[in-house]
This record gives sequence, C-alpha cells and structure tokens, in this order.
Amino acid sequence: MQLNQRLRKGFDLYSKNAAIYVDNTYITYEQLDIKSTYINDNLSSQFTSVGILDYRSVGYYCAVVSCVLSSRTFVPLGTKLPLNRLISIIEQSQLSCILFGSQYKELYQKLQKRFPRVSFLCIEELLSLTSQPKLHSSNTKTDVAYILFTSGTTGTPKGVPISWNNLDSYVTYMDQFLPLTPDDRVSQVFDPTFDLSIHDMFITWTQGACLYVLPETALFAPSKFIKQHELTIWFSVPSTASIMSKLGMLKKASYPSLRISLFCGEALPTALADNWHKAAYNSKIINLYGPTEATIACSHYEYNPSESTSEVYVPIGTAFPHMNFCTDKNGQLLISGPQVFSGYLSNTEHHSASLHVKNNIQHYCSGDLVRSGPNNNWHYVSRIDAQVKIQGYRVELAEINAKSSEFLNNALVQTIAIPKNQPQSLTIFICAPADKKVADELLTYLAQQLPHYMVPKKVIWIDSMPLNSNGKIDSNTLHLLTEK
Amino acid sequence: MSLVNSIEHTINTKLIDKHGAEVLHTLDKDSSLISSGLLDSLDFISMLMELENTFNLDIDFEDADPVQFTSYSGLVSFLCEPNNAE
Repeated sequence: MQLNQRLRKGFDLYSKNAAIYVDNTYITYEQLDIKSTYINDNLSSQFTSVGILDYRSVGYYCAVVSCVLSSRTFVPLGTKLPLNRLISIIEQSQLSCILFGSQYKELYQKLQKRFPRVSFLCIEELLSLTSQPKLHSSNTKTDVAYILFTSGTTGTPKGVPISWNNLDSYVTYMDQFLPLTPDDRVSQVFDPTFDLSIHDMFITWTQGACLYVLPETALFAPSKFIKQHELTIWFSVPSTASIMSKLGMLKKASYPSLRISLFCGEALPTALADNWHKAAYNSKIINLYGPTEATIACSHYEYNPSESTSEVYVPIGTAFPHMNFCTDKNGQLLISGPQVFSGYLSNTEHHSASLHVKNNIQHYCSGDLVRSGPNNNWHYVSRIDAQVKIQGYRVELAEINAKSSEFLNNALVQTIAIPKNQPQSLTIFICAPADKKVADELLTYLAQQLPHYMVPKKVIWIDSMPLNSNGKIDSNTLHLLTEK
Repeated sequence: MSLVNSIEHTINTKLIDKHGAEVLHTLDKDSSLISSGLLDSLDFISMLMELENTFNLDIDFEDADPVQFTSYSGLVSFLCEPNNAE
C-alpha cells in the first residue's frame, strides 16, 4: 500500500486519538486531517514541488501531511540556514510554492524578493480560512516524495531526491519491524532537514501513535520531557545521549517508560549504549544505519547488554531483508535495493562518483569502510574520504575549506574535526601570519554561508602545513597541534 | 569575588569571546542563551564543563528545566544552589 493510502487509513481508523503533541497542545488525527486538507485546498495543482519553511509547529506537520496526501514533493527548508544556502536549495529544487510559518515573515520577505515567481503562502492564514474543506481533494502525481540537502564537496549543497517508492519500501518494512500501538508516545527530536524526522512522522502516523515534538529548548537536555510525558519510543543521534550522560541525565532507572530506543546518524559507542540501557532498563536498544541516499536507514542491530564485547562501537548490523549490502575491493560498503535513490538533483559529477552499476544492479557507494563480523553483522570502520559527522549531520570538510580559502584569497587551509574518534566540533588551520580580526571576519563569513554545525569553533594559524610522505596534508599532526 | 560574580564573569567572557563586548548590553538575562542564538548546544555544554571544573561543582541536571537553566540568570542561580556547590 502506498504511503498516502496508509496515512489515510490511519486517519480514518484513529480519528479521535491524539496524533501530535506540539507547543503544549494535542492535535487529533481528525484535526490533522482537516487542517492538512485546508492547506491542500489552497494549493494549485501546478504546485508540484512545495517548500516548507517552518519549525516544530502544528503548521509544519500539517503542511507535510498535506503534501503527502496529495502526492506533492515536499522540501523542508531549514529556518536557521544562512540566506545564501536557502537560496541555493530553493533554486536547485525548482519550487513552485513555499508554505511558511507566520513567525518566519521576515525571512519570507527576503526570499520573496529573490524569487518573485514562487507563490509564498502563510500556513496559519490557510488554516484560519473558514470555508468547509472538501475532504480527499485533488491529487497531483509526482515521483519524488521529498528532497533533502547534504553537504557537498564542491561548495554547494547536494540535493537528494527520494521517491515515493523508496519511501514506501522503508515505511512498509519499518511498520513490521517496529510495531507501534495507539498507546505509544514517540519522540520527535530531529530537525525537519534531517531525514530521520521523516521516520518519526510516518512510523507514528501509519500506526495511530502520538508524536511528541520536543520544544527547541528541551532538545539537548530532554530528561524532563521524557519523564513528564512518559515517552515509550525514543529516537535521536548518539550525540544527544552523550550530552545527557555528561549532564548526569542517564542515572540508573531514570526512564522506565521507554520500551524502544533507536539511534542513528553516527557511530553508537558501546559504552554509551550500556549507559542508556541502565537508564532505560525496559527498553530495547536498536542501532540503525543508512545514508540519506538510501532512504533514512537500511540496516539494524539490536544491542544486547548482557553480551560482553570488546567492540568500541555497536555494529551497524544486518541489511533490511529487501536491501543488499556488499563491499568493493577497498572494503567500501555498497548498498542496493528499492530504497536506493536514483541520483542527485543536478550535479552529474556527484552522481557518477556515488552510483555504480555492478551485475546490472545500481549500487550506492556509501563512502563508509566496513568489515563483516560474527553473525553476518556489519561493523562501521571509518570514512574513505574527508566527510565527518557533527551531531549526526554530514559535513564535507572540503566544502568548508573551499569557502574559507575563497574568502582568504586562496590561502592554504585545512579543517579537522575534533576529537578524532567522536567529533564534536571543527577547528580550521590557516597557513598565514596570525590575525585575530581576519579570524573573526572569516567565522562571520562562514556563518553567513554554512549551517551552524559547519562553522569551525576555533582558528589556528600556522607557518606551514604539515605534509605526510605522500605529500598530502598530514591531519594526524594537525590533531596533535590542537592538543597543545 | 563571590561565587555568583565569578560565575557571571566566566559566562560573560564566553559571550564576549563569541559576540564582542556589546553583547552584554543587549543581553536578555531571562531568555534561553540557546534559543536566542547566542550559544549553540555544544558551546553551552563546553561552558558548563568549564564552570564545573573551575568552581569544583557537581551539577545534577536530571530534573532541571532546560528553559530555566539555559537562561543567563537561571544558570547562575542554578549553579549557586547550595546543594550544587561542594
């Protein structure tokens, strides 16, 4: 069954149940249905690709549902992204319409000047129209469900279109693997521009459970929220759990209500999984793995706390049954199956580097080096390139280097992520005489160009770039310099 | 300097480092430093770690309300609660 049909079925079956808790308010499935229909009624059938500029509000979720029910492509637009990056994303996605939350009026006015042909509609205004909605209204038919953007090595963000078929494959499997009941209370931690937020919404709403949207202030210290609402399902990046651990929020038996905890987006340290298990002792712990290009996640592993292991990280486990994992001669993980996308939005260079046809089957080259362990479980080893994860977000260091070098009149620069094993922040090395004013100007410039997690926290000036025996920049030496 | 003054001094230094001296004039001490964009969550955590180390505090945030303890005044009063200081 297609996702829009599954959602419709869920909406009819669970109409009186709460679908979302957001901004201290519960919204039932029936209300979600009516509100999304109001929005849909005001969208012309020519609006095939719709941008959504809103954050953690009722309006955002209604806008997404409205796009799914009418089979339009939706593009979550990060409200905190620098203007230039938003412009690049809107251009690449060729949006015909942008739905915006009323609190982003200022941002919308700037964008409207830049895109006079795009229709901008305020979500709250659409929701306040009082005409009787015609339920189950017009459908458009697009192949692409959503487009998300990730860091690109060349300096512009890469658009990853995921088709309805890709998404149907994921949701169909997840609904079996992770059966929820209408009594489940599911966390919504991820930001809209992160594909894991799409998991949260559809796994919850196809099964009649309630999505609990964490307010922004609770995101990094969610202990109180979990307890107050007795959440049963938790899903975050391991970094969130790690911060909770540092703040003393993973004490023994703190979260008895949790029955399933999912982690994805970066490597899950075994020690952290063990701490989480002690705090949420009733909960299964499942490590999910997968690049955006293969739709949300495509492998899983259930952590077994009673089994002793010398592994530093929890395995990424086995591929979903409808997906296939193999490796190339270097040990790089190649992914194939119905969740794999069919290519980036515009840049053919990225396209040919990451999609590879082998035995007549298209494989996505993940860039992740893996090894096979006991019970056919795969283990993540490292990246083959300079991509790192900061709080689960993919960051191409080359993109930061390119922007910085351009700003500094082609000065030699190198960005590294520290600490090496579990990066938390970025440091940039610049080959030039130290100049505090230039450093400040550079960081200000980068903040106007890149998402906040890609802006280095520290600038270090050096006389010459250390090189290894191959003549490449020696990042090991740079790491040592940061410890001084 | 009293504990309150010393803690405020550390927080001020962190904010000035990032935004320049004028930030202290425009600062709303009762709103979240994170939501207002002055610090991101990692800045905030590293500042907390620094405060804990410098003032020998062992803070328990388990039941703390993030809306309260991420504001300037909320953080200072939280850190100065008698049961947090050793």
